Amino acid sequence: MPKKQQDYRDELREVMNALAEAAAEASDDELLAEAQEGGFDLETEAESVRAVLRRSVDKLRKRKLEQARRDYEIASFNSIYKEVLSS
Amino acid sequence: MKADEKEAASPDEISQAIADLRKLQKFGRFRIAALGRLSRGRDYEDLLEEAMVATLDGRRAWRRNSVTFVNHLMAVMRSTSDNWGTKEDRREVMEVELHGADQDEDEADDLLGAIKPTTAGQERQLIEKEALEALEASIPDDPIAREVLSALQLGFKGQDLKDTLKITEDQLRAAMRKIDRRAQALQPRFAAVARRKE
Repeated sequence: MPKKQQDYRDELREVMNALAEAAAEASDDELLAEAQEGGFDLETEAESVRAVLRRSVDKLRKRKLEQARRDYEIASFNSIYKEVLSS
Repeated sequence: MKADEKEAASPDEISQAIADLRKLQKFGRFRIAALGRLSRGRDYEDLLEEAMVATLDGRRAWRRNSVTFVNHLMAVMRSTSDNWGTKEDRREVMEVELHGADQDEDEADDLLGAIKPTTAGQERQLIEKEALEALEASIPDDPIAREVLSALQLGFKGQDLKDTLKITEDQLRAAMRKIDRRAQALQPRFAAVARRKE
């Protein structure tokens, strides 16, 4: 019997999620041995993660600056509005 | 001892850091592969970045007394990728329903509306099917690993999986290791599934 469309998606998801959980439970020794066996360029891999961490901090900093700017604009508007009302 | 030498990480600390980085990468890549096309072109860096930002801006609190930072990040990545999947799944259903709505309005559109989702769906199905078949084909010489892979596809996990297949913990771990290595080798194939945006 041919499989339905949904089946392949679910099967792929089950397998990949199981592999993700196995990675989460892997010991440091296993991960290091695998990295060495696979000939991974550890410096490149580490740099890719460091880049993500830097981007996250930059993104948050930008978000805080934008929020501060919005707060300032609202405060300025409120102050002008009060002045207009009281004049 | 110079200040630089005091501050320099020890070989053990470096090994620990490398293992942590590898763990985050592997976990993220498999979670993205699990989303398949529902990732809408996002990659593991996007997932890790979202986990970091959610932690930094306080949306997800890190309970540092009970969980390591790496485990915290993985927990956030897990729920984030689940949310992405659910949201995109709903969007797909809505898109198909919208095509359905068009069909009522115009007879010409009716034909296109009927064909579009089916063709795209068949293409996606084929890509997912081929990715799974490639993984199966990559372990022809290991009957236990093949059985474990089939059981995983059906949603079996942990003790249930061992009981069903009547295998030991060591056999399961060896099979998982083999599937893991093969899946990593096939990563471009799974990335191709993930890149499918329609």
